[in-house]
Order: sequence, then C-alpha cells, then structure tokens
Amino acid sequence: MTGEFRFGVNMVVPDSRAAWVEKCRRVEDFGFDVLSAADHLGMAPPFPALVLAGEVTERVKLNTFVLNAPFYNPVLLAREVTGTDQFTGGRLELGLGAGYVKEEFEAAGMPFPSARERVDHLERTILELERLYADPEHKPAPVRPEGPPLLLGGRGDRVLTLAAEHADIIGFTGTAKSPDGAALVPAGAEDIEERVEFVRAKLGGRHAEFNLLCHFVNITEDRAGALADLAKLTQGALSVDQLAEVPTALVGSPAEVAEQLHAHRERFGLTYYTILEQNMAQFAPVIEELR
Amino acid sequence: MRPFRFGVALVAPGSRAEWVAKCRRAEDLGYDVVGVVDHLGRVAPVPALLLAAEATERVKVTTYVLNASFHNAVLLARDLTGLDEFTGGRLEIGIGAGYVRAEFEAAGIEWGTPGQRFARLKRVVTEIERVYESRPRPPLLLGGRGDRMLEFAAEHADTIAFTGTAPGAAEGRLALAGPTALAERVDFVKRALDGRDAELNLMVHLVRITDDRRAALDEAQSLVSHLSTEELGELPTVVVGSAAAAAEQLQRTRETLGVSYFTVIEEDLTRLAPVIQKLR
Repeated sequence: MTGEFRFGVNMVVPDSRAAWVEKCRRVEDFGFDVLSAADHLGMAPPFPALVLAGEVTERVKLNTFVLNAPFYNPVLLAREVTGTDQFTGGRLELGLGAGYVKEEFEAAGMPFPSARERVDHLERTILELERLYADPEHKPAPVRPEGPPLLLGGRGDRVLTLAAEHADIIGFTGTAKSPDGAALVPAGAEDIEERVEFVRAKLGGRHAEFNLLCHFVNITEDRAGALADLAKLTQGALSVDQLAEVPTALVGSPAEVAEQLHAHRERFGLTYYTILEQNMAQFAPVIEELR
Repeated sequence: MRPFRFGVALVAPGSRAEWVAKCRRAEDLGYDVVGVVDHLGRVAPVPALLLAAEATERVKVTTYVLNASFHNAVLLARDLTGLDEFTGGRLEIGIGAGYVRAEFEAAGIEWGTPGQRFARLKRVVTEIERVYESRPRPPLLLGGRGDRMLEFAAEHADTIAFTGTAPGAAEGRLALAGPTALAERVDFVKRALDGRDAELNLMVHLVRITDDRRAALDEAQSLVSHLSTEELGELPTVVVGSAAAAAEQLQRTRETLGVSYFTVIEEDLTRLAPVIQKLR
C-alpha cells in the first residue's frame, strides 16, 4: 500500500495461461494494489481471468475495468459477480460502465442502443445487483452483505449522477466530450475538474474514492522533451502546457510524478489511478517513491 | 466399445474453500469429469470451471449443460475460448436448449417456443464452431430429448447426452423416462448418427448402493411414482443395489445402449465412487 494512494493496472492483452499468470504475479510484485481486466471482444473473458489472477496472487484486489453493462443480463451478471466474489475470497471490485464501442455491439450481434438506453440499462443493472445482494435467498451470496465494492466509470451527467448515488469508487475517464460512438480524446484539466466538481456536488458529502484512467505514462529524466513528444502523439488535442497539467498524463522522473500525484490529489481529489498494462513496469518506481 | 467415463454435475454454490474441496474430492473419488450446471441460484459456471481446473490435476471440466438461451453467442464463445486456454485444454463444452421456464422469467429472458430455444442453441453452437474453425475445438456435448435436438446433436456433437427424463421434468418432480422410452431415444440417435462414432452420455438421476435392493427400489418408487418398481429395476438412469450389481448394471447399459459416459448429480457424488472403483 502506498498510504493515501492506490494504483491499478488495466490488463488488455489476450494471453496464454502461462503469460497471464506471469503477468498477474508481476502486477503484484511491482507493488500495485489492483489488477483490472478490461471487457472487450478479442480479449480474455474478465471473470475467469480474475479468478485465475486471484489464484496466482496473494494480495491485489481484482477488478473489472469496466464491464460493458449492456452486454449482460443483470440477473445472470449477479450470479457471475457473487460467484467470482466468493471464489476470490472477497477480493473482487466490480467496475461497470455504460459501454461505448459501437463496433463491439455489432460484433456481438446486438443493436447499439442510444446513449440514453445504455445508461438506462446501467441503472437497471445497478439496482438489480443491489436488490439481489440484499436478497437472503440469492445464491451465490456475496462475501459481504452489501456486495463487492462498486466502481462506476463514465463521463456524462447521468452516469456520474448514478455513480455519486451508488458507487464506492467513481471512475473518471479523463476524456473530452465527444459525439457518441466517436474516437475518444483526452480532456483538459479544467474539463476534468468540472466533472470532479459535478460529482462532488452530487455526492453531497458522502465519501467516495476517485479513480482515473491514466492514458499516458512516461517515466523519464526529460519531462519537457517527453511532454513535447506527447503533444505530437496526441495530434494537438492538448498543448504541451495543457498536457503538463492533466492527471491523465504522468510524465517525468519518479519524484516528479510523485509530486504531480500529490498536486492532483489536492486539485481533483484523485487518489486511485489505473494505468495501462504497457506502462506497468515503468510506473513501478513511482510506487516505490510514494512508499 | 468405448471406455467408461464418469462425471459429476456440481450445483451447490459456496465459498472458494468449499468449491476447491469438492472438486478435489471428485477427482480423488475417481471421476473423469467435473461438471457444472447452469441454473439460477446455483454456481456461476464459467468462474467455477476455472477454479475447478486450478484445484485439480487430471479431471476434465465441463459445462453440463449451459442453457443456450442464457448467453449471447459471441460473449459465450469468448468465455469458452478463455476457459479452454486458462485450463490448459481441459475444457469440454456441454450445451442444451434450457428447460426451466421459471428461470427464464426470473432473468427476464423470453421463454419462447421450442423452435426459438432450439434456434438459440444452434446460434451458440455455430459461433463455437466458427471460433474454432482453424484450431482444435474442445469436445462438444449436446443434450436433449426431442427429435430436432437429438438430430442436431447427432450431426454436430462429439458426445450426445440423454437426459433420461420424460416430459414434465422441469416442474420439479423427478419425471424419468421409462426403459422403453429411453431405449427408443437412443435408437433414434443411432439412426441419426448413421454410422458416425459418437460418445453417448446418460444422466443417472438416482444412486443407492445397498445390499437391500428391494427397499431401495421401493424408496425410489416413492420419488418416481409414475413408474413401477419393476420398470425402475431395469432403468439405466436409476442405479440401485450392491456396488457389484451396480457395476454390472452399468456394463449392461454400455453393452445394450452403447452409453459409456455416465453423469451423476452432486448429491450422489460419494455414492457412485465404489462402483467406479469396480469398473476400473
């Protein structure tokens, strides 16, 4: 544990059993707190992947980051969730989102519902899970009566309102507002701050952990150069100055990044970062730095 | 004649420790296959099979059987290919069309007509065949009772599973097909197979190992009131008697019906063990 912070790795690459096992152990050895499985077609199925991750690690929490809720029937999902919760000894943290990749709905032979319908389904899913957790007849029973911790991720007002009402962990995407189904682009710091303030107002004092998916990590002694490279990589979506400010880009030496994390906690209340699998090894010294 | 295989269909959800212990016990008792059912209120099949394989060394793990209507074909295929990989190729896939109407209603899934349920099963099987087009597919078991289902199984499955039930089985009582009706279904499949070699599986619904066969049959008859004690005595889905007599019965079933793979339900896990010993 790194005191006030938590760090997770989002695993996205489909793997052989051996590679998956090895990678899960590395996540834990590097000092991460959470091992997350994404939910996309062409990747490993999240629940069995997390059960296996739980078998080969000791400590890390196991998280779906995030389930595409419209893919699932809520009642069958509840069985999968509580079953996995039991089989991992209560290490599951359930992450849900409304879904956004249109092509995947098509590939799954499902109509791509409107944004409103997707959030409706997300809401039904949350309510159904809460109802079934609380039902003493529901089997498998969750490990804790209230069920596993819930992370809700998203950007829009409705999803974040739901998150403020129901979630233990709010997952900010750090992306800018974009047309439904379009490619995602990183948001500027003011934009992220606005979303955070929106949630804070909705929370009305209730405590929730704030999580952010960190899109860019570059641990380097040349922060200025790396930020300039990143500005090129993101094709001008954000300027160098803007990139220097956003919590979705952690760039610099381990000490510099640790400092940024403290500043972001002050400004945005972010204490839990999820980084992409490809950045896991280079991020490890930052965790060391914060111990 | 194919070698015997013995499977158990585990149903009860529980903690990790309970589940691990149960799977290991099945392996220790000599079973070849650890299966999970797909019903609401029961164990979550996909995570359960992952853990079953982790907890054991040798047994195959199988869905026995998935309710095709409960699953999106593409997502199910992802689950199964993932399980196949993560269990090191120990997965077998069992699929049925679903038969418990109350569960469909509880999950908000349209019950539909038998034709619609069959269409969903076909879609799931087609998708599994598609994702395994260019690599070896895990053995596929298809189970059911009706003509259409068994014809499809004869065409696509490595293992054809007979439920051994009569119509009305889903209503909560043990509605077993009589010996003649069961033999007729097996004959139907053999004709449909038209010489193709497939493994035949049978669900054994009741196991009582006892020296007092008469009393055990009477007890069984009280559960299956529509069949006479005499019919029960010759029914392959009811295994009652001494371990030696039970072993002989299974041998006879293999000779007469060609069924070589027997699956018991969880509560009979321990009861069948001495019979398995005798048949090794």
